[in-house]
Amino acid sequence: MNDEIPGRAASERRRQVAAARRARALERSRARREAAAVRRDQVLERSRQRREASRERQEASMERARRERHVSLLDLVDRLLDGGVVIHGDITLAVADVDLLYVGLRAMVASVETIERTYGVSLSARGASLSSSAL
Amino acid sequence: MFYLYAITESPEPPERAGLRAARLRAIDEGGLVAIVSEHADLRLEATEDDLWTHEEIVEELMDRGAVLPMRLASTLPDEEAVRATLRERRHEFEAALEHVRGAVELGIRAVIDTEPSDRPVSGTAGARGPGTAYMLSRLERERRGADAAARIHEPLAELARESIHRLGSQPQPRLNASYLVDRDRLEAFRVRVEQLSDEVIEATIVCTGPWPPYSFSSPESGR
Amino acid sequence: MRTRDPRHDARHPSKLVAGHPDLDLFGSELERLDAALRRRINADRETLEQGLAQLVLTLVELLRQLMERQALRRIEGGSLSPEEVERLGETFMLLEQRMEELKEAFDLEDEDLNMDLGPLGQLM
Repeated sequence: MNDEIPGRAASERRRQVAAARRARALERSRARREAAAVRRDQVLERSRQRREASRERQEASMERARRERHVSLLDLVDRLLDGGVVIHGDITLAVADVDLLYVGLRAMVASVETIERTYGVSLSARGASLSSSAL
Repeated sequence: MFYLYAITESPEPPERAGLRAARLRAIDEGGLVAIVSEHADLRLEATEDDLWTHEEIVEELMDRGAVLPMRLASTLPDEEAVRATLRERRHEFEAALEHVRGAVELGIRAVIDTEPSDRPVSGTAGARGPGTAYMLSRLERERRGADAAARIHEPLAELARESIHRLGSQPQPRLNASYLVDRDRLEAFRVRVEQLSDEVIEATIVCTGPWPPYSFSSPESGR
Repeated sequence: MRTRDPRHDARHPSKLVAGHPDLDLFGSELERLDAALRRRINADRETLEQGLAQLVLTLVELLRQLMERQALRRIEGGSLSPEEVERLGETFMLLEQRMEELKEAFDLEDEDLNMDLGPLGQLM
């Protein structure tokens, strides 16, 4: 007998259809959640990259500013030490023990003069020359 | 002891403190004015702060008129010594003030890359021997440096009242120059520097200023 | 360059008018300035020997450069024979190599040999 319990077959089919519909709905909803998660990750990543880029720009700009100040200081020191009107006073200027350095250099220059005499080489700021005997 | 910052014509000192918070004074000797601060005992440390304090005072004077900046650590024992210096060197100072009036100093530093990868400096042909090749490459390096330096310095010197320049060679050829530039030519000078930065591709150029005329204030100043 | 946090240097101005300062290119001059302002010539150097070596090698380097420059003038002026030029070149190459060895032996960099020599320093 093909329709012993016609209602049960129909309701079974209805249940199957409903289950399939629910499964599809669940699937769609899962897919939507996944997509949303991916989008969130992308937004977070872009935001992180923007922050990173901004920090790098800031660091680069601070580095540039630091270099500018250093070169400015360099130019200032050169001018203050070598330029300007000169009068002769009696202040003690302590810059890297400069006096000590010049004393050391004067000792070296005396040694250089010895070298000059020994090897027949003339070394001076204006007229450095090599005599053939030095070769 | 009097610490001197500058010689000028303005009878009023800047309204700020000098080194070690000492009061700034103007010592006026017949129109020539020394800007000073008085100290019982001064040990100048040459810290960045001290240097910029000194510089700020001179720059404020520069904004008011002609100024002759003093070398760092210029001192005289008392007021009479200051006045005597102004009297004895009056002609020198007055002439120098005229020379720098209306102008400021600009500094140029340029480093020249004499061995760009597309034009390596080599001695010519192995036939001549390594020693000769070495000397020739040195010559070529020197020549390139001087050439680039001239292409930078000469156009800038044309825009200045006066200039000084020096070419160094270690570790790479480098130009170090100062220019006394009329205030109303400042912008043209700056523009020219930017242009030269583009034109002279083998050079890295840096320009600082405006400075008080440190390099043009006296026969002994400058490098 | 050893310095304070740049944020605390706000009162030390930049006087840059044009150009872009590449720190590496002006490095040696900044090192010299740094040492001068902080009253220290190679405080990292521990031995007197190294300090003396620095002084000696700086002067030797200065002389080497002066001599090399003078030799170049002679070559340009044509007053040297090819053999003399070759011999000069070999000598300078050897000198340069020897300097490198000495620098390495005393753990000195190019910047260390760029001490403030006052008026002499202007020759380099």
